[in-house]
Amino acid sequence: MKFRYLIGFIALWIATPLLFASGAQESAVEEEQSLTITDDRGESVKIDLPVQRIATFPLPHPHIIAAVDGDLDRVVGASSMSVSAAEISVLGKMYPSFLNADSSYLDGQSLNLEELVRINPDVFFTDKVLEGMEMLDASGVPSVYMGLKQETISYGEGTSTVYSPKETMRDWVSYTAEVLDKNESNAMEISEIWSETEEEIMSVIENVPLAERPKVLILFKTKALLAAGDGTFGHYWIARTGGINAAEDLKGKHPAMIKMGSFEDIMHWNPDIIYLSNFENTMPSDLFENSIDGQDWSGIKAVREGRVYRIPLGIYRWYPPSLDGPLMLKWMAQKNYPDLFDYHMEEEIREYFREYHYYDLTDQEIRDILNPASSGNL
Amino acid sequence: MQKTRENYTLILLLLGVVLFLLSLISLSLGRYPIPLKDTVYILLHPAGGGPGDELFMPRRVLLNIRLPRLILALSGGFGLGVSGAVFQGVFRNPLVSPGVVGVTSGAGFGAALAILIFGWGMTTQAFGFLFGILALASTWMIARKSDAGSVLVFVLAGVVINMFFQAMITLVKFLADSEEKLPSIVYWLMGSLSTASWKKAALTLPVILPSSIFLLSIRNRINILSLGEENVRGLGVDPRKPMAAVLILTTLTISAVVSVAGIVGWIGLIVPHISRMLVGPDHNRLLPASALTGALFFLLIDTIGRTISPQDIPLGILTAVVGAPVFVILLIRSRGRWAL
Repeated sequence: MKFRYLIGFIALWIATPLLFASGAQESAVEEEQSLTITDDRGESVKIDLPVQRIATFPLPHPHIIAAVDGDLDRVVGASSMSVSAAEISVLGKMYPSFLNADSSYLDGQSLNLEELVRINPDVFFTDKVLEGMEMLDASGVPSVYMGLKQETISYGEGTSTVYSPKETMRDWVSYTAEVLDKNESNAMEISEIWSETEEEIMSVIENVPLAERPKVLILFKTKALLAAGDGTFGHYWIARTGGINAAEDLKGKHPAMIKMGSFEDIMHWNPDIIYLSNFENTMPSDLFENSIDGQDWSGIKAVREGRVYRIPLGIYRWYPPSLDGPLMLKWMAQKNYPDLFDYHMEEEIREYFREYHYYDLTDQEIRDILNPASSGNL
Repeated sequence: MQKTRENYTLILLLLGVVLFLLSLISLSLGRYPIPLKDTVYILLHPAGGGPGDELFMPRRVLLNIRLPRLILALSGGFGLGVSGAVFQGVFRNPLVSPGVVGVTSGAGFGAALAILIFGWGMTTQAFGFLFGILALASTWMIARKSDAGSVLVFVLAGVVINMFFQAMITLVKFLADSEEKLPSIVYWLMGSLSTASWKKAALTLPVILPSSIFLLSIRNRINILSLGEENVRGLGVDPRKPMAAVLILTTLTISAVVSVAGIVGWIGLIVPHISRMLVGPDHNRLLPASALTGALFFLLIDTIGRTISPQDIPLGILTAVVGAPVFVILLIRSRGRWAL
């Protein structure tokens, strides 16, 4: 009997180093299969590879993931506003599985930690430092913070520092490609086209004297009196398409919108052209018919002259950072200066989608992009 | 006696003149600069030319944005002033206000619920009224069941009902979607006339004005009711019917104001006190004075709120900032002796 114990003991003694060795081997493999990146907080975030389940917070991010990854199957969680945009756009047709993405862990601007842990993502992307975020790492959900990027651009006689849809898009493409271990070149090509389009438009507008440039107002939410003030994405779009921002005196920190004092501000600015963001259900007809309670649009120049437009919804909403940025520039430049730009937008959109989104749009889909439906769930 | 009657007339006249002047000044103030002389000119010549007219836009600002707001501020203050004085009278307690007994939060809950379900409209007022009455009735029932006639119990019951409806308001906020409806409900609850329009004026004025004016016309009865139930019965009058009428009318007024301006505290509480200092406790005089003081106070607060900073400051904040110190001063000066 004792002999048996001895053999057992010896066997164990021999096996132990082997066990350790195999353990060491395993951890080495683990090291190979994880990725450490430094995010915009300056935190180094360790992500286990391969990434199969992605949860994301920034509204424009899902379509960027689609472009980088060629699919949206890995996206298991996204903001309800990303999903609602996909429901009424081609993104939902291109990637139907995305319409089932879970939004339950996001309640407006706050994060429900347990819900996020429940859907068990391998990585979580956010463009805001959310409350409870520091708890995520402890819960085994690595979170990558990718902030919005600013740039200084020429505006009027001087310059203006704005939240840049272009730079933000470029940055998010990089983060996404790195985490998904994908080639970013195709999406990055868009950023080059974007810069070329900027130059193309500016070379025409340079010749228009400041006094003759249209006064443009972008309304983010009409009833709530939220406009694209100084430094917002909207300020970028207006500056890059040769307009004067009617709301340039509105200062604030938000990248997309700043609250104006009262409706009297709009009457005071009396803009030549008004753009509605499509982040709300207000339509140009609401302004033309003057049907918004507590607001009087009938005297505003843009309304009297029929120059109120709703911003299109392509692969994503065109107002925030999106991969359709070059199209937005052309569309808006043409609305601002119908005599100077003879873009055939329908064809521009068709070719762009074929080239960069690998998708053949039908005529109806192109019409829908230019005239986005109102969405009940915003 | 003759002397005080003259004083009373003089005070009312003075209040009227100040109200008129403040209205004109208020109309000329705002984000769109309109000089006083243009304001007067536009008011005298409301029909103007097309876009080429120099006063084209000022006329629109004045007639379509500021005028409905002014009218809502005046009538809202008028209604709250009258209802506040009536409440303090019939409940024979200077601490009672529509806010204290739960009517305001009840109406606020009803209106918030209606906004959540239907958006702003006729239903906002209707729901406001329904739940305002419900709140008031609940307060009254609780007070009656435990200790009829005890003012303390009545006020405590009001506190309970108030807290209950505040919680229900929080529930509505919780249920509202955070992108679109929640901000508008929250902002409206803080008290604001920033969405004033002719439509809102057309829907609320026909409620506020007739009920407050009717209350003014029966101010003699309110004097009797303020004697207390037993004394009234001693006079051979059944107080139940006039009491019920008075409470329904005040609740109608308050829910109409709440539906359009949100929860504006303090006015119903301090306006009657200020008026009492001006004209004395007789409801025959107190009610008209409260009506004018209320209108003046509301207009002043709203004008300050929309001019002091680029953003509209909610009325609830300003009425509290002005109301709390005024109330404290009144409290100290009275040394606990409340003249009713």
